[in-house]
Amino acid sequence: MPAGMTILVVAAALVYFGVAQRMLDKMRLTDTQALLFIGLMVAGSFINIPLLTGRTNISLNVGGTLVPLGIAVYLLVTADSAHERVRALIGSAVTAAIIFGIAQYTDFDPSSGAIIDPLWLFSLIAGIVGYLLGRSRRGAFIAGVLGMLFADLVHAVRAWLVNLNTNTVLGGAGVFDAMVVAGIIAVVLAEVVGETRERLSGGPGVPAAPHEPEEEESE
Amino acid sequence: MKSNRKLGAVLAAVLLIIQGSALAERTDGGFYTLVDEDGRVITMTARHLDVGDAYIAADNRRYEVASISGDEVRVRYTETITLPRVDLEGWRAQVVGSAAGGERVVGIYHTHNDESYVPTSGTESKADGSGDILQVGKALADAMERLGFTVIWSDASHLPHDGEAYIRSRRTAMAMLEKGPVTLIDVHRDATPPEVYEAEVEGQPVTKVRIVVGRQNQNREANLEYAKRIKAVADQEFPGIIEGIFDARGNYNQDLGPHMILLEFGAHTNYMEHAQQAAEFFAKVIPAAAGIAPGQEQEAEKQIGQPAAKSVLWIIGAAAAAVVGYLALNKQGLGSLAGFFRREAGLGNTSDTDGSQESEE
Repeated sequence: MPAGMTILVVAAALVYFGVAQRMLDKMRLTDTQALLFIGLMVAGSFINIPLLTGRTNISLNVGGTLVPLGIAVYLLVTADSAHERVRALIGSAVTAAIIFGIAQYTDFDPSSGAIIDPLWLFSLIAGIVGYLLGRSRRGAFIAGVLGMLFADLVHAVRAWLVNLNTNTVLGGAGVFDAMVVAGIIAVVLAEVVGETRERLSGGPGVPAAPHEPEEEESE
Repeated sequence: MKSNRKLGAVLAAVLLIIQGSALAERTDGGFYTLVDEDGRVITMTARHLDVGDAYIAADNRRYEVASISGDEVRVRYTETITLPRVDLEGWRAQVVGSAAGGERVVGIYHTHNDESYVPTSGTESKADGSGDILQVGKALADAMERLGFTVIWSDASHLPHDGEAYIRSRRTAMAMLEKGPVTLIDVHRDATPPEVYEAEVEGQPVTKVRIVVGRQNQNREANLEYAKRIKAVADQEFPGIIEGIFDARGNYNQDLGPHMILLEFGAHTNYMEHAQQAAEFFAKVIPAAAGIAPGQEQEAEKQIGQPAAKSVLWIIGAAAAAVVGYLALNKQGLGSLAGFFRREAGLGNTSDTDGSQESEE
Protein backbone atom coordinates (compact mmCIF):
# COMPACT_ATOMS: atom_id res chain seq x y z
CA MET A 1 0.00 0.00 0.00
CA PRO A 2 1.34 3.48 -0.83
CA ALA A 3 2.94 5.39 2.04
CA GLY A 4 0.28 8.12 2.16
CA MET A 5 -2.53 5.59 2.44
CA THR A 6 -0.62 3.50 4.97
CA ILE A 7 -0.16 6.57 7.16
CA LEU A 8 -3.86 7.37 6.75
CA VAL A 9 -4.90 3.89 7.84
CA VAL A 10 -2.48 3.87 10.78
CA ALA A 11 -3.50 7.38 11.92
CA ALA A 12 -7.21 6.52 11.77
CA ALA A 13 -6.63 3.25 13.65
CA LEU A 14 -4.56 5.01 16.33
CA VAL A 15 -7.27 7.62 16.90
CA TYR A 16 -9.96 4.92 17.00
CA PHE A 17 -8.06 2.74 19.46
CA GLY A 18 -7.10 5.80 21.50
CA VAL A 19 -10.73 6.89 21.79
CA ALA A 20 -11.79 3.29 22.53
CA GLN A 21 -9.25 3.02 25.33
CA ARG A 22 -10.32 6.35 26.84
CA MET A 23 -13.99 5.42 26.72
CA LEU A 24 -13.53 1.96 28.24
CA ASP A 25 -11.43 3.62 30.85
CA LYS A 26 -14.42 5.88 31.68
CA MET A 27 -16.20 2.86 33.06
CA ARG A 28 -15.19 0.50 35.79
CA LEU A 29 -12.02 -0.55 34.04
CA THR A 30 -8.43 0.38 34.74
CA ASP A 31 -6.12 1.63 31.96
CA THR A 32 -4.52 -1.78 31.83
CA GLN A 33 -7.84 -3.62 31.66
CA ALA A 34 -9.06 -1.29 28.91
CA LEU A 35 -5.93 -1.95 26.84
CA LEU A 36 -6.24 -5.67 27.49
CA PHE A 37 -9.84 -5.71 26.27
CA ILE A 38 -8.89 -3.81 23.11
CA GLY A 39 -6.09 -6.32 22.52
CA LEU A 40 -8.56 -9.16 22.98
CA MET A 41 -11.02 -7.54 20.57
CA VAL A 42 -8.29 -7.18 17.93
CA ALA A 43 -7.03 -10.75 18.40
CA GLY A 44 -10.56 -12.14 18.59
CA SER A 45 -11.47 -10.41 15.31
CA PHE A 46 -9.82 -13.29 13.48
CA ILE A 47 -11.90 -16.00 15.18
CA ASN A 48 -15.42 -16.92 14.02
CA ILE A 49 -17.51 -19.56 15.75
CA PRO A 50 -20.22 -21.11 13.53
CA LEU A 51 -23.62 -21.27 15.20
CA LEU A 52 -25.85 -22.31 12.32
CA THR A 53 -24.85 -23.51 8.86
CA GLY A 54 -26.87 -24.06 5.74
CA ARG A 55 -29.10 -21.66 3.91
CA THR A 56 -29.30 -19.40 6.94
CA ASN A 57 -25.70 -19.04 7.94
CA ILE A 58 -25.09 -17.57 11.39
CA SER A 59 -21.80 -17.33 13.21
CA LEU A 60 -20.23 -15.31 15.96
CA ASN A 61 -17.00 -13.34 15.96
CA VAL A 62 -15.07 -13.50 19.22
CA GLY A 63 -13.53 -10.01 19.02
CA GLY A 64 -16.67 -8.29 17.80
CA THR A 65 -19.19 -10.04 20.03
CA LEU A 66 -17.85 -12.06 22.96
CA VAL A 67 -15.37 -9.47 24.23
CA PRO A 68 -17.70 -6.42 24.14
CA LEU A 69 -20.51 -8.62 25.43
CA GLY A 70 -18.23 -9.67 28.30
CA ILE A 71 -17.58 -6.02 29.16
CA ALA A 72 -21.31 -5.21 29.02
CA VAL A 73 -22.13 -8.15 31.29
CA TYR A 74 -19.36 -7.13 33.68
CA LEU A 75 -20.80 -3.61 33.83
CA LEU A 76 -24.26 -5.00 34.47
CA VAL A 77 -23.04 -7.31 37.23
CA THR A 78 -21.08 -4.53 38.94
CA ALA A 79 -23.91 -1.99 38.62
CA ASP A 80 -24.75 -0.17 41.84
CA SER A 81 -28.35 -1.29 41.96
CA ALA A 82 -30.92 -3.57 40.35
CA HIS A 83 -32.64 -0.39 39.19
CA GLU A 84 -29.56 0.61 37.19
CA ARG A 85 -29.36 -2.87 35.65
CA VAL A 86 -33.00 -2.79 34.60
CA ARG A 87 -32.65 0.68 33.08
CA ALA A 88 -29.58 -0.39 31.10
CA LEU A 89 -31.39 -3.46 29.79
CA ILE A 90 -34.48 -1.46 28.88
CA GLY A 91 -32.20 1.03 27.11
CA SER A 92 -30.70 -1.86 25.13
CA ALA A 93 -34.13 -3.20 24.19
CA VAL A 94 -35.40 0.24 23.13
CA THR A 95 -32.22 0.83 21.09
CA ALA A 96 -32.66 -2.54 19.37
CA ALA A 97 -36.32 -1.80 18.65
CA ILE A 98 -35.49 1.57 17.09
CA ILE A 99 -32.66 0.11 14.99
CA PHE A 100 -34.92 -2.69 13.83
CA GLY A 101 -37.70 -0.24 13.01
CA ILE A 102 -35.38 2.01 11.02
CA ALA A 103 -33.96 -0.98 9.16
CA GLN A 104 -37.44 -1.82 7.89
CA TYR A 105 -37.98 1.72 6.72
CA THR A 106 -34.92 2.55 4.57
CA ASP A 107 -32.01 0.65 2.99
CA PHE A 108 -29.51 3.55 3.20
CA ASP A 109 -28.62 3.06 -0.46
CA PRO A 110 -27.13 6.08 -2.25
CA SER A 111 -30.50 6.48 -3.99
CA SER A 112 -32.41 6.49 -0.71
CA GLY A 113 -31.39 10.03 0.10
CA ALA A 114 -30.52 8.96 3.65
CA ILE A 115 -28.77 11.80 5.42
CA ILE A 116 -26.51 9.71 7.62
CA ASP A 117 -24.83 6.33 7.36
CA PRO A 118 -26.49 3.55 9.40
CA LEU A 119 -23.25 2.86 11.27
CA TRP A 120 -23.18 6.37 12.69
CA LEU A 121 -26.97 6.70 13.06
CA PHE A 122 -27.38 3.47 15.04
CA SER A 123 -24.47 4.46 17.28
CA LEU A 124 -25.98 7.88 17.99
CA ILE A 125 -29.35 6.31 18.77
CA ALA A 126 -27.67 3.91 21.20
CA GLY A 127 -25.88 6.83 22.87
CA ILE A 128 -29.02 8.96 23.21
CA VAL A 129 -31.35 6.19 24.36
CA GLY A 130 -28.72 4.55 26.56
CA TYR A 131 -27.89 7.82 28.26
CA LEU A 132 -31.51 8.90 28.72
CA LEU A 133 -32.66 5.57 30.08
CA GLY A 134 -29.45 4.36 31.72
CA ARG A 135 -28.50 7.89 32.79
CA SER A 136 -24.86 6.96 32.71
CA ARG A 137 -21.94 6.36 30.40
CA ARG A 138 -22.11 2.71 31.35
CA GLY A 139 -25.77 2.62 30.34
CA ALA A 140 -24.84 4.15 26.98
CA PHE A 141 -22.14 1.55 26.35
CA ILE A 142 -24.44 -1.31 27.30
CA ALA A 143 -27.20 0.08 25.06
CA GLY A 144 -24.72 0.38 22.17
CA VAL A 145 -23.37 -3.15 22.45
CA LEU A 146 -26.50 -5.00 23.52
CA GLY A 147 -28.79 -2.86 21.35
CA MET A 148 -26.85 -3.82 18.20
CA LEU A 149 -26.60 -7.43 19.39
CA PHE A 150 -30.34 -7.67 20.11
CA ALA A 151 -31.14 -6.15 16.69
CA ASP A 152 -28.82 -8.68 15.06
CA LEU A 153 -30.39 -11.54 17.02
CA VAL A 154 -33.89 -10.48 15.99
CA HIS A 155 -32.71 -10.55 12.36
CA ALA A 156 -30.99 -13.93 12.85
CA VAL A 157 -34.05 -15.55 14.44
CA ARG A 158 -36.38 -14.19 11.76
CA ALA A 159 -34.01 -15.40 9.04
CA TRP A 160 -33.80 -18.84 10.65
CA LEU A 161 -37.58 -19.11 11.02
CA VAL A 162 -38.19 -18.44 7.32
CA ASN A 163 -35.04 -20.26 6.15
CA LEU A 164 -33.77 -17.06 4.53
CA ASN A 165 -30.69 -17.27 2.33
CA THR A 166 -28.47 -14.95 4.34
CA ASN A 167 -25.13 -14.72 5.99
CA THR A 168 -24.92 -13.14 9.44
CA VAL A 169 -21.69 -12.99 11.40
CA LEU A 170 -22.52 -11.44 14.76
CA GLY A 171 -19.79 -8.87 15.43
CA GLY A 172 -18.09 -10.09 12.25
CA ALA A 173 -16.10 -6.92 11.58
CA GLY A 174 -14.33 -7.54 14.89
CA VAL A 175 -13.02 -4.46 16.62
CA PHE A 176 -14.47 -2.36 13.76
CA ASP A 177 -17.91 -3.97 13.96
CA ALA A 178 -21.04 -1.88 14.47
CA MET A 179 -21.45 -3.49 17.89
CA VAL A 180 -18.11 -2.13 19.13
CA VAL A 181 -18.34 1.17 17.24
CA ALA A 182 -21.86 1.76 18.62
CA GLY A 183 -20.68 1.07 22.18
CA ILE A 184 -17.78 3.49 21.87
CA ILE A 185 -19.66 6.29 20.09
CA ALA A 186 -22.51 5.94 22.59
CA VAL A 187 -20.09 6.55 25.47
CA VAL A 188 -18.47 9.48 23.64
CA LEU A 189 -21.91 11.02 23.18
CA ALA A 190 -22.91 10.36 26.78
CA GLU A 191 -19.59 11.77 27.92
CA VAL A 192 -20.04 15.00 25.96
CA VAL A 193 -23.67 15.37 27.03
CA GLY A 194 -22.84 14.48 30.62
CA GLU A 195 -19.93 16.87 30.84
CA THR A 196 -21.96 19.65 29.23
CA ARG A 197 -24.82 19.19 31.68
CA GLU A 198 -22.48 19.00 34.64
CA ARG A 199 -20.68 22.10 33.44
CA LEU A 200 -23.95 23.99 32.92
CA SER A 201 -25.35 22.94 36.28
CA GLY A 202 -22.27 23.30 38.41
CA GLY A 203 -19.56 25.06 36.46
CA PRO A 204 -15.89 24.18 36.35
CA GLY A 205 -15.48 24.33 40.06
CA VAL A 206 -17.73 21.38 40.80
CA PRO A 207 -15.67 18.57 42.20
CA ALA A 208 -15.83 15.27 40.37
CA ALA A 209 -17.45 12.21 41.87
CA PRO A 210 -14.99 10.12 43.84
CA HIS A 211 -15.14 7.03 41.63
CA GLU A 212 -16.28 8.18 38.19
CA PRO A 213 -18.14 11.14 36.80
CA GLU A 214 -21.51 9.45 36.61
CA GLU A 215 -24.68 11.32 37.28
CA GLU A 216 -28.12 10.47 38.51
CA GLU A 217 -30.89 12.70 37.34
CA SER A 218 -33.40 14.01 39.77
CA GLU A 219 -36.95 13.58 38.67
CA MET B 1 -42.48 11.44 33.72
CA LYS B 2 -39.74 13.88 32.84
CA SER B 3 -37.66 11.03 31.53
CA ASN B 4 -40.55 9.72 29.48
CA ARG B 5 -41.06 13.12 27.90
CA LYS B 6 -37.38 13.27 27.00
CA LEU B 7 -37.47 9.83 25.48
CA GLY B 8 -40.54 10.78 23.51
CA ALA B 9 -38.76 13.86 22.19
CA VAL B 10 -35.76 11.77 21.17
CA LEU B 11 -37.92 9.20 19.43
CA ALA B 12 -39.73 11.97 17.59
CA ALA B 13 -36.39 13.44 16.48
CA VAL B 14 -35.18 10.05 15.29
CA LEU B 15 -38.39 9.52 13.36
CA LEU B 16 -37.94 12.91 11.73
CA ILE B 17 -34.44 11.96 10.63
CA ILE B 18 -35.66 8.67 9.24
CA GLN B 19 -38.61 10.30 7.56
CA GLY B 20 -36.18 12.69 5.93
CA SER B 21 -34.24 9.68 4.71
CA ALA B 22 -36.89 7.24 3.65
CA LEU B 23 -39.46 9.58 2.23
CA ALA B 24 -36.66 11.11 0.19
CA GLU B 25 -36.86 8.15 -2.17
CA ARG B 26 -39.56 8.39 -4.83
CA THR B 27 -41.98 5.53 -4.89
CA ASP B 28 -44.32 6.85 -7.58
CA GLY B 29 -42.16 5.73 -10.49
CA GLY B 30 -41.31 9.32 -11.28
CA PHE B 31 -37.90 10.92 -11.37
CA TYR B 32 -36.22 14.27 -11.15
CA THR B 33 -34.53 16.08 -13.99
CA LEU B 34 -31.44 18.12 -13.22
CA VAL B 35 -31.40 21.29 -15.30
CA ASP B 36 -28.62 23.86 -15.40
CA GLU B 37 -28.82 27.66 -15.61
CA ASP B 38 -29.17 27.51 -19.41
CA GLY B 39 -32.03 25.03 -19.31
CA ARG B 40 -29.89 22.04 -20.36
CA VAL B 41 -30.77 18.63 -18.94
CA ILE B 42 -27.75 17.33 -17.00
CA THR B 43 -29.07 13.99 -15.81
CA MET B 44 -32.08 12.30 -14.25
CA THR B 45 -32.43 10.52 -10.97
CA ALA B 46 -35.04 8.95 -8.75
CA ARG B 47 -33.13 10.18 -5.77
CA HIS B 48 -34.36 13.20 -3.89
CA LEU B 49 -31.69 15.84 -3.81
CA ASP B 50 -31.05 18.61 -1.35
CA VAL B 51 -29.70 22.07 -1.99
CA GLY B 52 -25.91 21.85 -1.85
CA ASP B 53 -25.59 18.25 -3.10
CA ALA B 54 -22.86 17.74 -5.69
CA TYR B 55 -22.72 15.77 -8.92
CA ILE B 56 -19.75 15.34 -11.27
CA ALA B 57 -21.10 14.63 -14.74
CA ALA B 58 -19.51 12.52 -17.46
CA ASP B 59 -17.96 15.65 -19.00
CA ASN B 60 -16.25 16.43 -15.65
CA ARG B 61 -18.44 19.44 -15.00
CA ARG B 62 -19.33 19.69 -11.34
CA TYR B 63 -22.77 20.91 -10.36
CA GLU B 64 -24.40 21.85 -7.11
CA VAL B 65 -28.11 21.77 -6.47
CA ALA B 66 -29.39 25.35 -6.23
CA SER B 67 -33.16 24.87 -5.93
CA ILE B 68 -35.86 22.26 -6.34
CA SER B 69 -39.30 22.83 -7.82
CA GLY B 70 -41.57 19.86 -8.41
CA ASP B 71 -39.75 17.33 -10.61
CA GLU B 72 -37.21 19.88 -11.72
CA VAL B 73 -33.94 20.31 -9.88
CA ARG B 74 -32.07 23.47 -10.75
CA VAL B 75 -28.32 22.95 -10.57
CA ARG B 76 -25.54 25.48 -10.65
CA TYR B 77 -22.28 24.83 -12.49
CA THR B 78 -19.35 25.29 -10.11
CA GLU B 79 -16.24 24.11 -11.95
CA THR B 80 -14.82 21.65 -14.42
CA ILE B 81 -12.69 19.24 -12.47
CA THR B 82 -9.37 18.04 -13.80
CA LEU B 83 -8.94 14.31 -13.77
CA PRO B 84 -5.55 12.88 -12.89
CA ARG B 85 -3.39 11.97 -15.86
CA VAL B 86 -2.97 8.22 -16.11
CA ASP B 87 -0.32 6.84 -18.48
CA LEU B 88 -1.78 3.67 -19.97
CA GLU B 89 0.79 2.72 -22.61
CA GLY B 90 2.48 0.02 -20.53
CA TRP B 91 -0.83 -1.33 -19.28
CA ARG B 92 -2.28 -1.66 -22.77
CA ALA B 93 0.70 -3.77 -23.83
CA GLN B 94 0.30 -5.97 -20.76
CA VAL B 95 -3.42 -6.46 -21.35
CA VAL B 96 -2.71 -7.67 -24.86
CA GLY B 97 -0.06 -10.05 -23.51
CA SER B 98 -2.37 -11.14 -20.64
CA ALA B 99 -1.12 -12.58 -17.31
CA ALA B 100 -0.63 -9.00 -16.19
CA GLY B 101 -1.88 -9.27 -12.66
CA GLY B 102 0.57 -11.50 -10.88
CA GLU B 103 -0.52 -12.11 -7.33
CA ARG B 104 -2.32 -8.83 -6.73
CA VAL B 105 -5.68 -9.48 -5.08
CA VAL B 106 -8.95 -7.71 -5.87
CA GLY B 107 -12.14 -8.20 -3.83
CA ILE B 108 -15.72 -7.97 -5.11
CA TYR B 109 -18.85 -8.28 -2.99
CA HIS B 110 -22.52 -7.31 -3.03
CA THR B 111 -24.27 -5.57 -0.14
CA HIS B 112 -27.61 -5.89 -1.97
CA ASN B 113 -27.36 -9.34 -3.51
CA ASP B 114 -31.08 -9.37 -4.41
CA GLU B 115 -30.80 -6.52 -6.95
CA SER B 116 -31.95 -7.53 -10.42
CA TYR B 117 -32.77 -6.14 -13.85
CA VAL B 118 -36.45 -6.11 -14.86
CA PRO B 119 -36.01 -6.47 -18.66
CA THR B 120 -33.90 -9.60 -18.09
CA SER B 121 -35.56 -11.29 -15.12
CA GLY B 122 -38.93 -9.62 -14.86
CA THR B 123 -38.20 -8.44 -11.36
CA GLU B 124 -36.10 -5.78 -9.74
CA SER B 125 -35.34 -7.90 -6.67
CA LYS B 126 -35.03 -11.65 -6.16
CA ALA B 127 -36.26 -12.63 -2.72
CA ASP B 128 -34.06 -15.74 -2.58
CA GLY B 129 -30.93 -13.58 -2.78
CA SER B 130 -29.81 -14.84 -6.20
CA GLY B 131 -30.11 -11.38 -7.77
CA ASP B 132 -28.82 -10.66 -11.27
CA ILE B 133 -26.26 -8.34 -9.71
CA LEU B 134 -24.27 -11.42 -8.66
CA GLN B 135 -23.81 -12.28 -12.34
CA VAL B 136 -22.52 -8.77 -13.01
CA GLY B 137 -19.99 -9.04 -10.17
CA LYS B 138 -19.03 -12.51 -11.41
CA ALA B 139 -18.48 -11.17 -14.92
CA LEU B 140 -16.15 -8.52 -13.50
CA ALA B 141 -14.33 -11.13 -11.41
CA ASP B 142 -13.93 -13.60 -14.30
CA ALA B 143 -12.67 -10.91 -16.66
CA MET B 144 -10.07 -9.74 -14.13
CA GLU B 145 -8.96 -13.32 -13.54
CA ARG B 146 -8.45 -13.75 -17.24
CA LEU B 147 -6.09 -10.78 -17.01
CA GLY B 148 -4.12 -12.67 -14.40
CA PHE B 149 -5.33 -11.04 -11.20
CA THR B 150 -6.37 -13.01 -8.15
CA VAL B 151 -9.99 -12.14 -7.45
CA ILE B 152 -11.95 -12.91 -4.32
CA TRP B 153 -15.58 -12.74 -5.34
CA SER B 154 -18.09 -13.07 -2.52
CA ASP B 155 -21.68 -14.05 -3.20
CA ALA B 156 -22.46 -13.88 0.53
CA SER B 157 -26.10 -12.97 1.05
CA HIS B 158 -26.94 -9.98 3.22
CA LEU B 159 -30.70 -10.37 2.97
CA PRO B 160 -33.07 -8.87 3.74
CA HIS B 161 -32.52 -5.72 1.71
CA ASP B 162 -33.04 -3.47 4.70
CA GLY B 163 -31.26 -0.81 6.70
CA GLU B 164 -28.94 -3.31 8.36
CA ALA B 165 -27.65 -4.78 5.08
CA TYR B 166 -24.61 -2.47 5.13
CA ILE B 167 -23.91 -3.53 8.74
CA ARG B 168 -23.97 -7.19 7.63
CA SER B 169 -21.91 -6.59 4.48
CA ARG B 170 -19.37 -4.72 6.61
CA ARG B 171 -18.53 -8.10 8.13
CA THR B 172 -18.10 -9.65 4.69
CA ALA B 173 -15.88 -6.73 3.67
CA MET B 174 -13.79 -7.06 6.83
CA ALA B 175 -13.28 -10.80 6.27
CA MET B 176 -12.20 -10.08 2.68
CA LEU B 177 -9.79 -7.35 3.81
CA GLU B 178 -7.96 -9.94 5.90
CA LYS B 179 -6.88 -11.51 2.59
CA GLY B 180 -5.15 -8.28 1.59
CA PRO B 181 -7.00 -7.05 -1.51
CA VAL B 182 -5.61 -3.92 -3.11
CA THR B 183 -9.14 -2.72 -3.77
CA LEU B 184 -12.56 -3.85 -2.59
CA ILE B 185 -15.56 -3.19 -4.83
CA ASP B 186 -19.21 -3.26 -3.75
CA VAL B 187 -21.18 -3.94 -6.96
CA HIS B 188 -24.75 -2.55 -7.16
CA ARG B 189 -27.28 -1.37 -9.69
CA ASP B 190 -29.24 1.88 -9.52
CA ALA B 191 -32.99 2.63 -9.74
CA THR B 192 -33.52 5.22 -12.46
CA PRO B 193 -35.19 5.42 -15.88
CA PRO B 194 -33.26 3.28 -18.43
CA GLU B 195 -31.99 6.12 -20.60
CA VAL B 196 -29.84 7.47 -17.79
CA TYR B 197 -27.56 4.44 -18.08
CA GLU B 198 -27.97 3.32 -21.71
CA ALA B 199 -24.81 3.57 -23.83
CA GLU B 200 -22.87 1.97 -26.63
CA VAL B 201 -19.16 1.37 -26.20
CA GLU B 202 -16.94 -0.17 -28.88
CA GLY B 203 -20.07 -0.97 -30.85
CA GLN B 204 -21.66 -2.95 -28.04
CA PRO B 205 -24.65 -1.98 -25.89
CA VAL B 206 -23.62 -1.50 -22.28
CA THR B 207 -24.92 0.12 -19.16
CA LYS B 208 -22.99 3.10 -17.94
CA VAL B 209 -21.34 2.88 -14.53
CA ARG B 210 -21.82 5.34 -11.71
CA ILE B 211 -19.06 5.64 -9.12
CA VAL B 212 -20.19 6.35 -5.57
CA VAL B 213 -17.97 7.85 -2.91
CA GLY B 214 -19.24 8.11 0.67
CA ARG B 215 -18.56 11.45 2.33
CA GLN B 216 -19.04 10.38 5.95
CA ASN B 217 -15.67 8.76 6.59
CA GLN B 218 -12.03 9.64 7.00
CA ASN B 219 -10.99 8.04 3.69
CA ARG B 220 -13.25 10.22 1.56
CA GLU B 221 -10.44 12.29 -0.04
CA ALA B 222 -8.43 9.20 -1.03
CA ASN B 223 -11.50 7.37 -2.29
CA LEU B 224 -12.63 10.41 -4.28
CA GLU B 225 -9.20 10.57 -5.93
CA TYR B 226 -9.45 6.84 -6.64
CA ALA B 227 -12.87 7.48 -8.21
CA LYS B 228 -11.36 10.21 -10.38
CA ARG B 229 -8.62 7.82 -11.50
CA ILE B 230 -11.26 5.22 -12.39
CA LYS B 231 -13.05 7.85 -14.46
CA ALA B 232 -9.79 9.03 -16.05
CA VAL B 233 -8.87 5.50 -17.16
CA ALA B 234 -12.40 4.69 -18.32
CA ASP B 235 -12.67 7.97 -20.28
CA GLN B 236 -9.45 7.10 -22.12
CA GLU B 237 -10.16 3.44 -22.76
CA PHE B 238 -13.94 3.24 -23.01
CA PRO B 239 -15.32 6.74 -23.62
CA GLY B 240 -18.96 7.07 -22.59
CA ILE B 241 -19.01 4.25 -20.05
CA ILE B 242 -19.01 6.49 -16.97
CA GLU B 243 -22.31 8.05 -15.94
CA GLY B 244 -20.70 10.25 -13.30
CA ILE B 245 -19.31 10.40 -9.81
CA PHE B 246 -21.80 10.69 -7.01
CA ASP B 247 -20.24 12.31 -3.95
CA ALA B 248 -22.90 10.97 -1.63
CA ARG B 249 -23.84 11.18 1.97
CA GLY B 250 -23.16 7.94 3.78
CA ASN B 251 -20.21 5.72 4.33
CA TYR B 252 -20.79 2.47 2.41
CA ASN B 253 -18.11 0.72 4.48
CA GLN B 254 -15.51 2.99 2.91
CA ASP B 255 -14.21 3.87 6.36
CA LEU B 256 -12.57 0.43 6.30
CA GLY B 257 -9.93 1.48 3.79
CA PRO B 258 -8.82 4.06 1.22
CA HIS B 259 -9.39 1.80 -1.78
CA MET B 260 -13.00 0.87 -1.13
CA ILE B 261 -15.43 1.86 -3.85
CA LEU B 262 -19.08 1.37 -4.77
CA LEU B 263 -19.98 0.90 -8.44
CA GLU B 264 -23.49 0.95 -9.88
CA PHE B 265 -23.83 -0.95 -13.14
CA GLY B 266 -26.97 0.45 -14.75
CA ALA B 267 -30.43 0.54 -13.22
CA HIS B 268 -33.20 -1.99 -12.65
CA THR B 269 -34.70 -0.81 -15.94
CA ASN B 270 -31.66 -1.89 -17.99
CA TYR B 271 -30.63 -5.34 -19.24
CA MET B 272 -28.35 -7.50 -17.11
CA GLU B 273 -26.40 -8.55 -20.21
CA HIS B 274 -25.52 -4.92 -20.88
CA ALA B 275 -24.32 -4.52 -17.31
CA GLN B 276 -22.21 -7.67 -17.72
CA GLN B 277 -20.63 -6.22 -20.85
CA ALA B 278 -19.84 -3.04 -18.92
CA ALA B 279 -18.23 -5.22 -16.24
CA GLU B 280 -16.08 -6.93 -18.90
CA PHE B 281 -14.78 -3.53 -19.95
CA PHE B 282 -14.35 -2.37 -16.39
CA ALA B 283 -12.00 -5.27 -15.66
CA LYS B 284 -9.43 -3.37 -17.71
CA VAL B 285 -10.13 -0.09 -15.92
CA ILE B 286 -9.82 -1.07 -12.26
CA PRO B 287 -6.21 -2.39 -12.33
CA ALA B 288 -4.80 0.77 -13.90
CA ALA B 289 -6.87 3.03 -11.62
CA ALA B 290 -5.98 1.16 -8.45
CA GLY B 291 -2.29 1.13 -9.37
CA ILE B 292 -2.00 -2.64 -9.52
CA ALA B 293 -1.35 -2.79 -13.23
CA PRO B 294 2.33 -3.04 -14.14
CA GLY B 295 3.94 0.38 -14.21
CA GLN B 296 1.00 2.08 -12.51
CA GLU B 297 1.95 1.74 -8.87
CA GLN B 298 4.09 4.85 -8.39
CA GLU B 299 1.72 7.08 -10.31
CA ALA B 300 -1.29 5.88 -8.29
CA GLU B 301 0.67 6.19 -5.07
CA LYS B 302 1.45 9.80 -5.84
CA GLN B 303 -2.05 10.73 -6.97
CA ILE B 304 -4.02 8.91 -4.29
CA GLY B 305 -1.38 9.25 -1.59
CA GLN B 306 -1.45 13.05 -1.58
CA PRO B 307 -5.12 13.43 -0.63
CA ALA B 308 -4.61 10.56 1.81
CA ALA B 309 -1.88 12.58 3.51
CA LYS B 310 -4.28 15.56 3.59
CA SER B 311 -6.81 13.34 5.34
CA VAL B 312 -4.19 12.44 7.95
CA LEU B 313 -3.79 16.13 8.77
CA TRP B 314 -7.57 16.41 8.96
CA ILE B 315 -7.74 13.45 11.38
CA ILE B 316 -5.01 14.88 13.59
CA GLY B 317 -6.70 18.29 13.54
CA ALA B 318 -10.09 16.83 14.36
CA ALA B 319 -8.63 14.73 17.18
CA ALA B 320 -6.87 17.78 18.62
CA ALA B 321 -10.04 19.87 18.35
CA ALA B 322 -11.99 17.10 20.07
CA VAL B 323 -9.50 16.95 22.94
CA VAL B 324 -9.55 20.73 23.40
CA GLY B 325 -13.35 20.81 23.12
CA TYR B 326 -13.72 17.99 25.60
CA LEU B 327 -11.40 19.60 28.11
CA ALA B 328 -13.17 22.93 27.69
CA LEU B 329 -16.40 21.17 28.61
CA ASN B 330 -14.78 19.21 31.36
CA LYS B 331 -15.00 20.39 34.94
CA GLN B 332 -11.29 21.08 34.98
CA GLY B 333 -11.42 23.26 31.86
CA LEU B 334 -8.65 24.03 29.40
CA GLY B 335 -6.21 24.43 32.24
CA SER B 336 -5.99 20.64 32.35
CA LEU B 337 -4.61 20.43 28.78
CA ALA B 338 -0.99 20.03 29.88
CA GLY B 339 -2.04 17.47 32.47
CA PHE B 340 -4.02 15.57 29.86
CA PHE B 341 -1.03 15.18 27.56
CA ARG B 342 1.30 14.47 30.52
CA ARG B 343 -1.02 11.66 31.58
CA GLU B 344 -1.47 10.32 28.05
CA ALA B 345 2.30 10.28 27.61
CA GLY B 346 2.60 8.40 30.88
CA LEU B 347 4.53 11.19 32.61
CA GLY B 348 3.44 11.23 36.19
CA ASN B 349 0.12 11.61 37.92
CA THR B 350 -1.15 8.40 36.31
CA SER B 351 -3.61 6.94 38.66
CA ASP B 352 -5.07 3.78 37.17
CA THR B 353 -8.78 4.34 37.49
CA ASP B 354 -10.23 6.95 35.32
CA GLY B 355 -12.67 8.63 37.56
CA SER B 356 -9.91 9.57 39.91
CA GLN B 357 -7.65 10.56 37.05
CA GLU B 358 -10.13 13.08 35.82
CA SER B 359 -10.54 14.44 39.32
CA GLU B 360 -6.87 14.81 39.79
CA GLU B 361 -6.18 16.93 36.72
